[in-house]
This record gives sequence, structure tokens and C-alpha cells, in this order.
Amino acid sequence: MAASFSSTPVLQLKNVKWEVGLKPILHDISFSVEPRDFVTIMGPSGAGKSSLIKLLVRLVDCTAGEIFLEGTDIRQMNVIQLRRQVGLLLQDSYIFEGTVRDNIVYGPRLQGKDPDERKMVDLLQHVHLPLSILDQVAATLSGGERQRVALVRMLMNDPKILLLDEITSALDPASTHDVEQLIKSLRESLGITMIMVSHDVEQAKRMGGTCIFLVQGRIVEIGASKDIFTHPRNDVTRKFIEGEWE
Amino acid sequence: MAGTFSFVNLLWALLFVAIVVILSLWKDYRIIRENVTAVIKMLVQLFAMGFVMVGVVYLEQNVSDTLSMSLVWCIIGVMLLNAVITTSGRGKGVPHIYAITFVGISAGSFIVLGVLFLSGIAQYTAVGLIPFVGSIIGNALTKNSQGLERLTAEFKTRVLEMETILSLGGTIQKATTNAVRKTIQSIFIPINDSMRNAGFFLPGAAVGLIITGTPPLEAMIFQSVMFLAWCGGAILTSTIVSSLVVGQLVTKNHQLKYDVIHALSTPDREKEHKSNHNHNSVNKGNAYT
Repeated sequence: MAASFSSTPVLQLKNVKWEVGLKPILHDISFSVEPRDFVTIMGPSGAGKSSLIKLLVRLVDCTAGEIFLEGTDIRQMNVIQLRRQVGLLLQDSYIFEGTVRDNIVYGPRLQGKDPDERKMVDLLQHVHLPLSILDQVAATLSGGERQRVALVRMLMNDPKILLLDEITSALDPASTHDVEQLIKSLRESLGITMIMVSHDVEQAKRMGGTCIFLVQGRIVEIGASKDIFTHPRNDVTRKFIEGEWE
Repeated sequence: MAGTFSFVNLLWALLFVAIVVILSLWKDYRIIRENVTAVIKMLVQLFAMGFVMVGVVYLEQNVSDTLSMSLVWCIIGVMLLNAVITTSGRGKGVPHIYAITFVGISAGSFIVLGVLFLSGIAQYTAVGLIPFVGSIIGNALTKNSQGLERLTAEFKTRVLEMETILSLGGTIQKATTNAVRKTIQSIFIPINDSMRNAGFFLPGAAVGLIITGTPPLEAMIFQSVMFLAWCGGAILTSTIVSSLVVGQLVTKNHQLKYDVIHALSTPDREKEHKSNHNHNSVNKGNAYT
């Protein structure tokens, strides 16, 4: 479970700080994530949630502290290999020109590999997309389909951890529900460790798992979602859950 | 030679500026100040260069070659400095932009000039050097300005695409390929258009040679050489400058420098935006506001 330091966490952050110039964005962030955990990073806008996610794949480097992936400091790892092991799905999925197939095989092609057709078919079934979509021009996809295609594209890299950065924020309620169900089923069927960023309290409640509550770059509360949402210990958390936080 | 030119010819040509002014006032194009300023600057600079070249010829013929060549290299230095200062404004926000454009324009221009001198097309004399250097540096200046503006705009608009490629395990070179490719392609559009249509119109160098009495076929050979030299200068300068600029916007750890990219500005669009903003503030009742 997150928030506790066990012997073999898949991901561990120790006293992580990040500053842009002299402006501190994240302060003293420490937590660990066990294999197959589902963690939601919650908090208001500007809390540093997306910045924290970017640190985990070294899209930016922390200014102090350490981040370990399966016990190895990520700064000691080849950054390209790190990003293939920790998949990041962004808020607005970028879809490359060409067909859906071109998009899905992008990761393996970057590695100079022939894409595994069987895996591609399995993943499309997992995300409830028909095989016929492979030859569709990617620019014609709906918002929900784009997120599913981006998810399959990322899963083709066989990541150990999936980072989901507000992936439903641009979707309508029906598509949001579909994507949430999809994430839950992937979590059960593939057993991948997932960290999701969200500012939506109701979504965090629905997704369950562990919740890390971030405000102004600091962790103010961490624990099981059901506990945090029923008995918040921190006043800021309570205000945010009750919609009173400005 | 077809004839000599006098200031009377120039006065007649200023009629075209009057046409610009009249049409701009009538149609509200708002280009008068920019155009008239550019015309005045052009006249002052061209005549200054004309007088300097008269001096160069005088020194070459009456004093010493060394002195005239020294003056020529001073002129080249001024041309280069002007090109660097002018184009660097298009890469506002890029660290070390002056050094980058200096290296790019110098290297691109002097490699091309070296080839022209080695092949015997250009003569290493005071009078032979200035027109070639002026043309090649001038070409590098315009292409570099165009390229810098496009490259910074591409970087600002392609952050999500680049992040996606990096997140999928792509290298920074792969992530920035499209931004650089689109930049180089945009630089070559007008060059290729000019070459494709050459012959249907006569470019400036050929016109100048023909009216001063050079046989037409020789003038066309010279013009072809200049087109090819401009191509070479454009690709060398833009490749060097774009590589060095990209180097300032990314890290060796395959990361984007977000703070630098967000601070980039695209001068023309900013100016246009400011102008629109001012215009809209004045004309609050305008249907387009």
C-alpha cells in the first residue's frame, strides 16, 4: 500500500523537491507505491500534481531528493528505458498523423521492433475497440476513442507503471465513465501499477485505491480513498472534498 | 550598356512609394509608416554602400590593394553584424541567440563563398568580393530570420507532440524532428518557387548584368550559380542555426526546457496581436471585435 515504506516498492519517492528558478513547486514529497497499487493524486489546480507526474518519467528532474524505480535511482537509469517502463498518458492525448495502426505501433517502431500483432489485437479487445479501427484515419477519432488508442499505444511498450494525468478532464460524462471502467478492468486483468492524477473528488471516490492529497506542492493527507473521503483528517482535505476550497 | 542612371530616374521610381501611400490611405492597410521607413533606410544604406565602394575602387587603383581589401573586410564585418542583430530578434528568448546566429550565418556564408572563389566564379578582389558577400549574407539573413521565427513557433505549438514522443521512449532528436523539418521546408518554399519560375521572370542579378551589357547567356549562367549558392547558403545556415537553437531548448537527458520554451516569443505575431489589440481598443464598435 502507498504511504508506507516496504522492502520492495515498485516506486519510491524520498524528500523530493522541485523548483523552477527560485519558485518552489513541490516540497518534500515522500511516498511509496507497491506493485499493483492504484494511487490517485488529488488536489486543486496549481497543487503540483502534473509536475509530480513529470518527475516520475524525468520529463523534468527534481532539484532535491530521490526517486527509485524497483530500488534503482531513476537518475542512474537510461532515461529512454525508464520512459518505456513507466508509461505516461497525458490529459490531451496527442494523436500522430496517419492511421490508428500507425499510432499503436509507434512505441515498438521507436525501438526498432516489429509490433506484436497478437498483443495489439488483445489490447484493442481490452479497451473495447473493434479491429476495423486499425485502418481508420486517426484524426477522425472521437475524444474517448483517442484516449483508448493512446492507452493501447502506451501499453504496447509493456510498462510496469501507468501514469494517467487527468485523462478524462476533456471528456463528456459518458466517455469519462467508459474510460474509468476501462482503467478498472485493465487494473484487474493486466495487474499494472497505476497512478492517476485527478482534481475530481467524485472520480477519486469511484476509482478507490490509495489517495494522496496535494496542496500547494505539499502532501497534506495520504491514505485509503474510502478513509480519506469519509473521515478526512486534514481541514484542507475536508474543505476540498466538500467543495469549499477556493 | 543600355544607358546611364540618374537621380531623375530615382525620383520617378519614388512614384511607386506614392502609390503605396495613396492605396494604404484609401484602403486602410496601415502600412505607410513601415514602408516609408523601410524605403528611407534602403536609400540611405544603398547610397552609403555606393560611396564606400567608390572609395574602395579609388584605394585599389590609386593607393594599395592591402588598404582596399582591409576596407572590404571591414564592410563585410558590418554586413555580418547587421545580419546577426537583425535576425537575432526573431529568436527572442533563445539563450545565446546572437552567438548562434553569428556562427550560423558566418559558417553558411563563408563555406558558400569559399566554393565560389575556389571554382573561379568569384574573384578575390575588392570590387569582386563585396557584391558576392553582400548577396550571400543577405540571403542568409532573410532565410535565417524566416527560419528562427518558424522554429520558435513550432516549438511553442508542438510541446504536446514532443512530450508524447518522449513519453513513448523516443529520443529528443526524434521528438524535435518535425519542428526542425517544418522549419527547413518553410525556408525552401520561396527558394524552390523562385527557381521553378525562373525564366518566366528575370531575377535581379540577371537583370543587372543584362542592362549593363553582359551577353544574356552569361547572365543566365551567373544567375543560375547565384540560385544554387543561395540554396547552399540557406541549407547550411538553417541547419547550423536550428541545431544550435534546439540545443538550447532541450537537455542531454532527453527533456524539454519548459521555462525557455514558454518564454520564447514570435515577434511578428506579437506585433500583430498588439496592433490588433490597439486597433480594437480604439474601434470598440467594430463588428470584428
